[in-house]
Amino acid sequence: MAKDELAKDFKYIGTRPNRPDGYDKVTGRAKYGADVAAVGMLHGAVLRSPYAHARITSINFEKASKLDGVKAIITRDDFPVGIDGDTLNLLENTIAGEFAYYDGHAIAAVAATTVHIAKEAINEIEVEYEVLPHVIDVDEAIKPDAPVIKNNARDFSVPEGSSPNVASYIEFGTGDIDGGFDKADLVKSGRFKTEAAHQGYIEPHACMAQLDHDGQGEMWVCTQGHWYIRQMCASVLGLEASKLCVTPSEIGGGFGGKTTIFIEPLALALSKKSGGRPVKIVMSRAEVLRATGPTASASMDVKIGITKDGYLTSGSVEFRMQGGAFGGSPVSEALQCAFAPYNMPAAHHIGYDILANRPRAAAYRAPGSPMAAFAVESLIDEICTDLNLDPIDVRLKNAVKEGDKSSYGPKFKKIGLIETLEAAKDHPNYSISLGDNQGRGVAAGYWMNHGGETSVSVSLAEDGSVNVTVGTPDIGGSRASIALMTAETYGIPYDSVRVNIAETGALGFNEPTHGSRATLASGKAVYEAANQTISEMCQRVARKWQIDPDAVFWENGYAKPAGANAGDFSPISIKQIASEMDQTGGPIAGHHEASIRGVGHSFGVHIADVEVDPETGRITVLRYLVAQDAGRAIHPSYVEGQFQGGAVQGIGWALNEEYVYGADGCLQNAAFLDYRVPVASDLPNIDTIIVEVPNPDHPFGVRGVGETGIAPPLPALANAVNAAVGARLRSLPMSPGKVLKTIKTGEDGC
Amino acid sequence: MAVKVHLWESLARFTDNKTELTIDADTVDELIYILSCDYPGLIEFFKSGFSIAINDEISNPDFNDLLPENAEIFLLQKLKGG
Repeated sequence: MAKDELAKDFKYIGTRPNRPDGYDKVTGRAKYGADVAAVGMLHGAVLRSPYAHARITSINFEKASKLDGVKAIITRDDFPVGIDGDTLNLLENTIAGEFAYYDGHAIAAVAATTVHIAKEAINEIEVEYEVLPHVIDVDEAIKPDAPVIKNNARDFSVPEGSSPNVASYIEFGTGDIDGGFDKADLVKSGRFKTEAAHQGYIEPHACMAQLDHDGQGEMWVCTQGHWYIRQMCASVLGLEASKLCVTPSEIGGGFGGKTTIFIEPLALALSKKSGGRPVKIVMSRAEVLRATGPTASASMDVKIGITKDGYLTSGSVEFRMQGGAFGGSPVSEALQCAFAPYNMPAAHHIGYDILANRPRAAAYRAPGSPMAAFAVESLIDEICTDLNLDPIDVRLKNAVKEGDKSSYGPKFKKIGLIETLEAAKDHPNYSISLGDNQGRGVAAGYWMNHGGETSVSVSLAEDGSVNVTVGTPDIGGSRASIALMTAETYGIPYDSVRVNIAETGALGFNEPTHGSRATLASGKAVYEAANQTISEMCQRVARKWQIDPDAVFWENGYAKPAGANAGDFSPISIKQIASEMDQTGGPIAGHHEASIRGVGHSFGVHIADVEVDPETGRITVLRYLVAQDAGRAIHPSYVEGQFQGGAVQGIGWALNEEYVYGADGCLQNAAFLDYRVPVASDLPNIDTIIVEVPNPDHPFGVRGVGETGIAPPLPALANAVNAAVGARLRSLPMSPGKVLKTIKTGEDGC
Repeated sequence: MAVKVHLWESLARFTDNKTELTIDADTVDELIYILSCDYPGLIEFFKSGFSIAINDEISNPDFNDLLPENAEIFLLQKLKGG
């Protein structure tokens, strides 16, 4: 696609129609995971470990099994043996074997005729534990005397002599690090820490599963990726994937946390053991917080060199992240994001993925990028303060642009960081006067975005309307954006397109809606599939006109003769072509399957104004601005929604949210009352600027917008707090007590 | 086709401390095969899943991809997202 074509005016793209699923969702008609029911359905409940680390010496469910209404009880003994690699980690995290590795780890599960009976039966299961030493903190976990969580947990990447709790290691860099620091006028370093944060989706995990003894089954799951669910369940249960049909429900938020399995294999195993009856399991909020996958906690060392006029000369980071008892922290992504916004002569990155007695980390919106941004963008702000430099000017001087080599290797194609910085600087928020105890913070963020395995189909209905079938669940308005791109491709009204999210049997493999890929990847695939049908329609019209197919072209919903030489024919509409399908060769449908390429990197810049109460340490966010390069905003309202949603989650992570563990290694705040996500009254209006530097490798210029927005809030708020009261917090969250202590003592919280 | 392969430093201990290798390979499949034969320590990396950048285009690996002459290739850890 030529770049000049990306600049053309669109008829539908860039408009803001109602979302197709909106009516169902505001009226309560939409079916979420817990809404699914079936005749003969049983209800499941899960017994979970009360200890952070323990050997399970015995499980006795004799009393539980005698309760009226109990139909099946499962333990690890009901799952296959001989599994290894990451499949074993998935299984171990789903249900404990010899060891319980964290507070909330599943030990056994029950299926009964009612939820109450299932829960009563759980209480009747007798488990004997041998409690073992535990470790929660990421830095404590790699000390020489730390409890060893697992023997042989390390993978091939870990150097000899490392702590046994290091699961993987990564190191990369470019340029002369020491030489770069020698050239700097100022070299500054610091340690930064972030606590684990949960995605905080409103809808708890839920599923209903049915599995017969012949290995054939069905599932209805609240998930971002039902092919992943099928693949993982089949792996841990030893099933053939094609025999398991998985249908996604509507989803009340995921943010990466619903890309893996937790209760789903338990429901399948319970169904099989109860003779094939459907089993539904719905997690409580406490279970969600204790036993699903938050992001990692992090401890990060950063060192940056800069000239007195604001040019970065060198940077190094060492990130240590705990990803729970099975590894899997996003440390490699964090390293890739750390210096990505900057064209630095030298950068060096070291990362450790570390085990701790916590639930297995799952993806969370731009996995790793927020932690990296907190460390690097905070230190850059400290440098700007020390040298009395404008923070946006410094970022403009060092910003990456097309052709620059990224800090992790490949060169950037067309990107829009400079345009985004300029847009932020020009916004009125950057020049509003501030009062006492008020401060302004700036930070940049990055996410690389992702294409991934994608399969779609498109078909014409007999009246000329269009059905689109995709495999990426709609978690942020992708039905609307895909319908708009389809309408644009055909030149038909938005309302004439219906986008369906198909079950696993209807399409080829699809990666989840993750990596900001749904609009980018499914949209690109739908464009290809739609053009297949347009080509077919042009061929049928050519046969009708008895001219060469190349002499027919498509425009605004019509097949037209390509010029005077093609003949004098009246254009034929998609409606007419569709109405004659049965007489012109049968159904017209297109499909496209690919690992989608042509991703466009996305950068964002946030400006936060805060007021800090010096007596209580309470932070009030006064105003907030998100500027981000969307490439092309297909549906601007949902792009703005993604920007604002990312900012809100980042604000929560920065100010309030954290996993609090007691001395016993048990989670102390497994409820929204204590795990405090921001609510509307905590937030100001969040202004947005959609910067559009089209991705030249996407037919409509899309980059993906879902994730970048969560990275800058963490440092932007820390920088604003420092500007307000001179308190530099290097540890999140910036809870009032911590802020007050930093104001009084100058300690940075690490 | 001679292509230049860039490896992250943490993989260099499997490649005689080299982070840049010049390999004669026509396809991604051939490239991975040659690297695995020459440097068996990389096999576990390939098994763990990876992303690839061919002339700055980052994607899941397609083993049938033809490699352009003098292509610059980066082997990266498999990308995930939320």
